[in-house]
Amino acid sequence: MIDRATAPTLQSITEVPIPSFSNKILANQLPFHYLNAGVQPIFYLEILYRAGSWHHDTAGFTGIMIQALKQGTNDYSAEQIQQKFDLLGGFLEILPGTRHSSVRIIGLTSKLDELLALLADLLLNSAFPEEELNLCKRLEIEQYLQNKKKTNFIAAETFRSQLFGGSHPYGRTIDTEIILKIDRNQLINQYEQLFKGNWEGIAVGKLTAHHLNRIVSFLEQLPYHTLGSEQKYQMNTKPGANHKHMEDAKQVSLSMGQLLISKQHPDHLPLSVAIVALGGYFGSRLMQNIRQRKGYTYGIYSIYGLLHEAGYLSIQADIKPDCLEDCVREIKKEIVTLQKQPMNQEELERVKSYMVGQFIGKWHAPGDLINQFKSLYLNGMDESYAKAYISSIQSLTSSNIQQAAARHIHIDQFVEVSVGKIS
Amino acid sequence: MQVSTFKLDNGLQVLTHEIPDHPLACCCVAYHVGAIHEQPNKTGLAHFLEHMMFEGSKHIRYYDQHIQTAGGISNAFTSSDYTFYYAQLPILNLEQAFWLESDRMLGLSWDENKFELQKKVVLEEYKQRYLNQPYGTAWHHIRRLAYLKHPYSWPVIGRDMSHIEQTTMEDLMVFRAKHYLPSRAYLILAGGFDTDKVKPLVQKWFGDIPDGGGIDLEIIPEPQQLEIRHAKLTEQVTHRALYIAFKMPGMFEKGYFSAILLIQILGQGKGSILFQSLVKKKAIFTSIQTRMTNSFMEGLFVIEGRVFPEVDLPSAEQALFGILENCLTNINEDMLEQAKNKLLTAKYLQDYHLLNQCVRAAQYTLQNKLHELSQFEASISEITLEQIRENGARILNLKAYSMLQYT
Repeated sequence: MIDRATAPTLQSITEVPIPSFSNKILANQLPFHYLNAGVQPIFYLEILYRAGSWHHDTAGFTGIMIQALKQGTNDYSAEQIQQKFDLLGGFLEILPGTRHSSVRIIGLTSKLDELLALLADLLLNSAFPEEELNLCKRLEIEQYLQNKKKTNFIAAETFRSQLFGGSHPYGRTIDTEIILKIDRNQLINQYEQLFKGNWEGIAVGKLTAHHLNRIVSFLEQLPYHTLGSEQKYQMNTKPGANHKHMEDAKQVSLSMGQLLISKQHPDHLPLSVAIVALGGYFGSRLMQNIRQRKGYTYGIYSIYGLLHEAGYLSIQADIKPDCLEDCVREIKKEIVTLQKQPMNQEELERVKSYMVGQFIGKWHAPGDLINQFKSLYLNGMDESYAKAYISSIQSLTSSNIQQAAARHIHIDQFVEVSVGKIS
Repeated sequence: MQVSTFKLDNGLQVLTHEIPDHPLACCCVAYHVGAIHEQPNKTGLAHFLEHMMFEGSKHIRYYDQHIQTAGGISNAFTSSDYTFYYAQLPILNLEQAFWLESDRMLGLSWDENKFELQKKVVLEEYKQRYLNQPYGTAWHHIRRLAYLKHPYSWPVIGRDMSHIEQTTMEDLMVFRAKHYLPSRAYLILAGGFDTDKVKPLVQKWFGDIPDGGGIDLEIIPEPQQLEIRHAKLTEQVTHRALYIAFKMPGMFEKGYFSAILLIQILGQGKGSILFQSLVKKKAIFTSIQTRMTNSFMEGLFVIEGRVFPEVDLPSAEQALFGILENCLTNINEDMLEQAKNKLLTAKYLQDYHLLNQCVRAAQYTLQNKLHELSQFEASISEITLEQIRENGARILNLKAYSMLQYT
């Protein structure tokens, strides 16, 4: 008989090979980053704009702007562009952001040339036809009206606005009026200024020398310039509780948290372990308490969001309405415990192993590789951070983590948003 | 593809898929039991039981904590046809998953308090996913309309919250004893391991789990639908909406691949026929797409559309049927080529993730079609325009469908 009561011996993971992106400045000065990786016959090419909602004063503008890139060029209609992409089996992903935005194509390497030609047309010759723009705006408004019926959407929107300030690019919220006001001249103007030249290239996939040459020639035909100094915005947090009533809601959506340090801060790593321990995985304290012991929710999570110049903590759950008060109390109790008592060895090992295991799985698929690269590069870091990650995590002690939580989390300054119907 | 299979004496079938140099392994168990094995007045058992599988087994109190300490994650999902558990963790610790997975195949600890807590959690899940979402129960209604006899008629979460409230631990124990048997299960492994080294470990942990007696698995067949069925919902939503459900072949049955191509051509993405004509050109719908249930037996092919506020429902309906009447003759070679290329690119992307590979292997294996697994690309590539039209005419039967309206 085998001994089923005893776990097989565990082995700890000490390293994972971290692939190195090659970085080049092309003839036109455009920065290009690439990695030959993967087994499937596909490639990813991302055009990374150093522009986003930070660079406009209108909420929702970047989304419409970057969506509109595929709504027609001087030579082709939106429908033709869509059909050409579809025929090549390519995916065109539009990723609007705050400081950066991206247009990403994913396709079969055998169709690389055709996809590049199509992409060049979008990037350089977008025409923003009026009727397409109007439809874009109408669809955006209808989508917004649907989202407004969701408790978790309103909670997230209100949380951002209260955390960053209603006029900060991270905190601005859209509404019907704002979308209606966006006009074509404004788009064309911003396209010329922000979305034509202010970019870099990132490629990952099963790329031969021939493929790389094609991508380089493609990127070298693009104009390149960088923006001058960026505008500065002041974050303006309004701490405190805020409940929004929504009739007919069956649950209350809770969203709470505060601003935190950025990725460059020396306490970032111990603090991120603390936040994973709090609510970043199924074994977390919040999940065990609020779901597994109390049964108030299907899931509760804490997230350490990273922005260019700051970070933030966000704790989210959809909960049983009559449990709101107790739930908030328990969340705060868990945070205080995390700040006052160093975690025991068992929990420390579990959180670290979990984080290391997650980390090693992120260096395989091309989409993950691009994201890993960007999270380092855009924070001014390089792969030495990734190479040291496992040993940095392993060297943390319970008191490192406790102290980081005590230093940086302040529940008395929390923003606490709840949306729903409290009986 | 380095796939191999073997069977243990207790009937457990094992499938291994070596992916050289991958730092992780995925350990999955697919049980051939789902919501179709429930009774109409007692639904949601298969899914509730899935929750209990994480609440302590014969010798181990907490499943998740051990997986996490081994550097992994785990989860599960339940469908109408099967229940799928997975753990993904570093190769070095694969045996940890065998220890955990085999113990809960052997038996659960059945703690009454944990059962009552999970009941609360499932009820909150019911609200979060369905009741507290706009249009959240549309599929509850569409299933009920489309299936009169067959157990696909209820959703996996359960037909109604009251079914979950009334479930007892005894119900789950009986259900489990009947279905969670090695001979009704498949162990599916993928990752950077060496199969020869893994085999003895599988034998060690799973080999002595006793199998149970045979069970009666007869599923009530669904009579052929010969008429149009209607249902109207008056609940408050922002946009009036239409859901139209046609019947389509089960997964990998004859005609299945041409049906998924038709789904792609008709209503997947902004280049699709329905989006181009009804959203872009005519601005009648704010969104419209095709979906399918991906079930093992005759499933649903659903068109789901939300209507612009200034358009009334009869006009929207008329415009949609106008497109459906002619769509098969309007499909051309280019559209078919587009759909094939899209499905292939999507498959290559999915194949980067071990879990996706395991789920697909499970779907084939559970239907005794493992030998066809490597033929996916070919099965898609060889479909002709003729086949799309022929099968499409059977699916898009405008005299037999089910329509749900949000008025």
